Amino acid sequence: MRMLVVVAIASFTFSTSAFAQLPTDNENVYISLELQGVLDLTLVTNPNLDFVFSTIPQYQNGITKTNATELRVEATVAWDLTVNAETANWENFETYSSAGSTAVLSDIIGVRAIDAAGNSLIDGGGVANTYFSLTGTDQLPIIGDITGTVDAGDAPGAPGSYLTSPDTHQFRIDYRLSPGLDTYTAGYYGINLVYTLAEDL
Amino acid sequence: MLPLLIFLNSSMRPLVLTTILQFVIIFWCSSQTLDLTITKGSDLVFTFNSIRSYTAGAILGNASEVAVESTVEWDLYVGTQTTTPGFWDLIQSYSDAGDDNIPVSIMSIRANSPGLTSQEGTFFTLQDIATPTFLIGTNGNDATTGTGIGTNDPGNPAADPFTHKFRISYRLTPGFTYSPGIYTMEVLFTIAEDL
Repeated sequence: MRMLVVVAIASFTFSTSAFAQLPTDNENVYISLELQGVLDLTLVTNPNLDFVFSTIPQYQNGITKTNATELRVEATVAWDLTVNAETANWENFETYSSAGSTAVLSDIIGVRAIDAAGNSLIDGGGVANTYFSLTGTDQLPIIGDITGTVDAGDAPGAPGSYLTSPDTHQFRIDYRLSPGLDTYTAGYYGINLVYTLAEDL
Repeated sequence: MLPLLIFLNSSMRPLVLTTILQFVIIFWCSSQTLDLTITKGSDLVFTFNSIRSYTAGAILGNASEVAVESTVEWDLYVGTQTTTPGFWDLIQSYSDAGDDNIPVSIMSIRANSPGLTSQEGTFFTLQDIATPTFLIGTNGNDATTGTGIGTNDPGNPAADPFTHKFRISYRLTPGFTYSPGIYTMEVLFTIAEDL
């Protein structure tokens, strides 16, 4: 009899616990997210520009081409934009004369980059005939600092796209070439300009 | 058992019967089940490597499937599980730029059964599991629902494929704010008895 009473009490205890809430069941879905930094610089216009000096005024005053290049920027990180000559001197393809020097320096190139927001460091501030000469192969900052350096006073471009922020992510480039009248040998020359979009470090 | 009862005296017999009845009840109760199974897509990878993917976002349609088997009325809810609640876990950073505190809310999901019984039929942003989103039911005791939105009847995916299977689509739109790198989080689906 005593044994049965014990069993009955035990079974009541078990039944009480059995009526408690069922445990929940969980399942996990594991999500991985890889955000790769993307920097995309697009040259919209013709990459080949020809400057033909055939008159004395052109040699004296230089030749200006406005809006000759249009650049579009898309970036997921803060960015700097610079321009530099690939070589310190123009490459001489053909010489028309033996007079003068064929070592034409890259610094005869003046550039001006304009964005609608006025953030460009070389937009000339709206002052006429204000161009910024290239020096050797040095990078000339358009936005931010020189690539690869950390500058507390830097004002890099914000992440974004020209599609949504055309005022700050789209640039028009003006060029002026001023070789001078009597320094260089007549001939055919070429040089590459490099526009670099880099993450602001 | 009956021969045993016959030999017992009449004063003990009710006690023995009660004990047997309780064992039966215990056995019946212990056979109840609540089972949630992910039958497809338990490990998902999103890679953003183009401007368009950042701006438009990425969608994995019907990437996961969840099956519910229950002998009782049930609730189904979902939330995220991360080290810092509400933010993705950073595994590896590619850059110093940007913010690496990415809220889990950049991910939204859509979970529905073939019978369209989910209470969240369109994309909704995820939150930490502490504040889950209920696909079926609520925190409280819900009315028994046999058909339509909120169906929480006992059943299993084989017999009730239109109400006990859920397909999950994921949408991720990071935008340009966050730091490049690898991040992870877990999306936790939970089935619980509806009390």
